[in-house]
Amino acid sequence: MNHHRDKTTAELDACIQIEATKINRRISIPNRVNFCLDRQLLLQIEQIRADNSRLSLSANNLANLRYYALSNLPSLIYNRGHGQPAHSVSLTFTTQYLAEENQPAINLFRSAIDFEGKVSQQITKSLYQDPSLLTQISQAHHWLVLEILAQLPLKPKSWYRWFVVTCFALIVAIACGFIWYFVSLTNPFKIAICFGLIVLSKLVFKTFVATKLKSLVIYHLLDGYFAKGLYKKKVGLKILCFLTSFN
Amino acid sequence: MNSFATPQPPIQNPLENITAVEISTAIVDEIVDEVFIPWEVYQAIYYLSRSHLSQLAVDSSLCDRYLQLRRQLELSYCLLLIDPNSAQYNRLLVEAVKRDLPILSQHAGWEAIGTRLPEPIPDRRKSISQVNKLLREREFINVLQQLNKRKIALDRRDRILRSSDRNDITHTTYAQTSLQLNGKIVNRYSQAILERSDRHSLLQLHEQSTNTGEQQWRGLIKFMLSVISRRGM
Repeated sequence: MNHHRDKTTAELDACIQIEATKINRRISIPNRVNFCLDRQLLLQIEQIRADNSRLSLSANNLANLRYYALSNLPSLIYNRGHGQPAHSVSLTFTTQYLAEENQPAINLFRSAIDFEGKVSQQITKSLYQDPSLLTQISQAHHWLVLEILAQLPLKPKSWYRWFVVTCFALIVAIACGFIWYFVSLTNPFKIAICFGLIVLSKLVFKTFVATKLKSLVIYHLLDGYFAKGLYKKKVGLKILCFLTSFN
Repeated sequence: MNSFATPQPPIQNPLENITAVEISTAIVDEIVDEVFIPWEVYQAIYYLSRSHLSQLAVDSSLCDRYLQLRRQLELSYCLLLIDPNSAQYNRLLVEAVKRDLPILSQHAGWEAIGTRLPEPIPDRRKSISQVNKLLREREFINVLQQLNKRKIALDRRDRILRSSDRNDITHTTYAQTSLQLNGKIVNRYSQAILERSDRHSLLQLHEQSTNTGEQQWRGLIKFMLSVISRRGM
């Protein structure tokens, strides 16, 4: 039973493909997400929906999908590339259907979701004229899109925050200890300096982590160091996830 | 890695300008990727004129709407010419442009004003760099993109008007629902679907699109918030 479920999960994960354009030797820009479905996969999706189960995405696919979402919305969240035109872009999901094994897959359904609030759905005439397939494809398409979008948000683990807060408190405590034992001033002055140090370091930490460092990581995820290769993207997204825990 | 050293612009709040979620549904012959090539769009709108439209045998009811695209292109360029923050700013032209702006803002009479837009294909003596420079302007590209969307819609409308089947809804948005933040819900339908026998199934399909489209957009917002949200934003 478990083996069958794993096989279905793997097949569904494999049907989600990201189409990308290679802009240079190392960097590819993702254009759209394709769902390559056939009769078998449509039935599997129906079964999963009936069981109220969730789509299980592989770590690689999830990282690629997050990268796609992030890289397609830069002009709104982040004005990179000074003087570079900012095109209004949307996330595009296309369902392709393979009717017969030796025939090419045909695009039948497309959703383009614009961050500014424009959502457009395109259905081909041939699909519209086949009501039973239309029901199957549209339900599978919408379910896959919603499942992907539900898993996209970065979910920082609760210990991230505690780990950094503990490290921060330790460093500040050590610094205050040094001031207390090695600076030759009267106690009220030492207390004032320690208090000032705590406030200042908290302020610097907040500004640095919450804005500067996060901006830098997003920048490098979009077209810097982390944009080159899947492994680097995953590392970049992990760091971003870590940083968002301080939101 | 020089970019590590360069100052990074701050993350912006992208939610400020969103006032509604707009879901549209269309039936198409084929799903194709629409590629936006700024120079091609610029060229197509630049050459729009009454004579050009009559040469193309565009339906006469649409001519004025096509020409408005050309007027808006001219207007957006003129606004750049008098904007000191723009790379197109030209101190020598400011006065003349300011004199023409009221005419360019109107729907009629603007055609008498000589164009200031650089030619998409300049003659041998001039270089193409002026067009290239213009097409690097972020604001101009945004306008061009909006005009392109309207031109595509007009082209589709023209095709329908010239075809024998006026109830054909293929390649046009047949239904659109706007869910506004102030609580208003506005539905727009193509006139053609009202006369079709399958209108109920078309409306049902749009209703399904609306329900899921709104959820899809909300999912996208959640992702963005997980990346950008911070206290005080």
